[in-house]
Amino acid sequence: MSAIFVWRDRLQNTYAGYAKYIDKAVQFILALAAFMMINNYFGLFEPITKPIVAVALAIIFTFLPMAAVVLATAFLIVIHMCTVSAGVAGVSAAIFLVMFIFYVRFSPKTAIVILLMILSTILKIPYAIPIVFGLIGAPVYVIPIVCGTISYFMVEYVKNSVATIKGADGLVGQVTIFLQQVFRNKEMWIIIAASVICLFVVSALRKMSYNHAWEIAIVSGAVINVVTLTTGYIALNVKAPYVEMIVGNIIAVFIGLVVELFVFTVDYSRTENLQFEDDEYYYYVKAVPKISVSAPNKTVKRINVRQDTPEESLQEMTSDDVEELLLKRSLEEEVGRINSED
Amino acid sequence: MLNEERVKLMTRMASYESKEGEEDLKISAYYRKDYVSIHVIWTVIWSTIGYIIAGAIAVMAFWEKLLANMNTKNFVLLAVIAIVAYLIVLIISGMVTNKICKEKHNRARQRVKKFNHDLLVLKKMYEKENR
Repeated sequence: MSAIFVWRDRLQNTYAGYAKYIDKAVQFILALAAFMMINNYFGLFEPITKPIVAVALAIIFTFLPMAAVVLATAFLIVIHMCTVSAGVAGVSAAIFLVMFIFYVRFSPKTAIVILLMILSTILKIPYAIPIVFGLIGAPVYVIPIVCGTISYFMVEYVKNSVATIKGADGLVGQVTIFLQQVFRNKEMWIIIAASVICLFVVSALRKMSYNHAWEIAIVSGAVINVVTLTTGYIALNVKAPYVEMIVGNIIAVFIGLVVELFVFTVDYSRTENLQFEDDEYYYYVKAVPKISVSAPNKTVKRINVRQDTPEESLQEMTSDDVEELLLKRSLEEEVGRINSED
Repeated sequence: MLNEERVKLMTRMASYESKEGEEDLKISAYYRKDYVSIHVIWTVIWSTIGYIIAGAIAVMAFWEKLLANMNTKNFVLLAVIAIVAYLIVLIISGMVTNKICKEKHNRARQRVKKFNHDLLVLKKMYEKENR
């Protein structure tokens, strides 16, 4: 276990040293993943589905704020939708605008959660996001999670129903059918409900003072997810992807534990319970020490080191030093002789 | 001759200026009340636009149901609900903006104060060197 902490410490030290470059590299990778996944998943507007377009866009958006990547992804989605229906694209843009007005404008730095939710839902692991942001975020993260889920289902519906939308009667008909199908999608509301409950539960449990609160919060989040989703699927009579759901939640638990390793590592075996008082209160304090294992500093011992000859050393010595050295040598010889005689 | 303390101070100040400094200086140019008021007004405008768009989307999504159940009584009820919801949205978004902007202004002022203090220290360092 300590090897993992050493490894974590090394990673943290590396990050501390190169934070600026690592942040930009992460932003580039995230932007590239977002653009490529949206292009591959949608693939409706051929000219922008080429990888070179995604790479070029990712390079540009690496040097802009993270919120710009989210806006660019929304813009890409709208462009793809334009090939199906201008009305649907317009309404989608309007929905993104509402998200911007009521959330992104207030908290542009957390807009990335919307993008992460879309990407993780495409990767079939949307369960990880409420668990992770329940651990490191606040209950307000339910808003971007809901926005991300709605965005994903908008994309999914258009992708799977191109013929239905194109066959609808006029622009108004296309828009009406799109909105009806998206907002009456039972699976979407089940996932939203499960994510919201999961985030609240994880957020509440991990703040508790009992031992292993974070691990309990992570596992409880996954269990809540499975229970809520299963109940929802059965109650609303929706075909449930059970295997996907269980595997997704196991992956979510693993991701949660990795996050815990970097954010919250404590040694419960060395917990101290203290009690003291002042004029107004009695205090019952539980102090749990953090685990900090610093990476060992390797020192290289040179075996064939050039050593000063006694003559050289003697030249640098004063007469007192020489006398002391000679006395020390004679004493060592004397002690060695006595020992050998015994 | 390089003065190590001065170089450290200037590095810290330059780092601040290149990150939050620019925005902080803009924010702290306003009195807190003015800064908050401007943002609340913008929020009211944006919230109104957002509410109209969200309302239009909702009407389009439930168009058939609305048409099927529309009569004078339901229309009045719907209008009252829409107005009350609009007021609630305005109040909540206004309160959120008020809180966020107050905190933002306070933090910016604190940082600008520290920056000004650093400027004074730097000035004294130069004066001491030139003496």
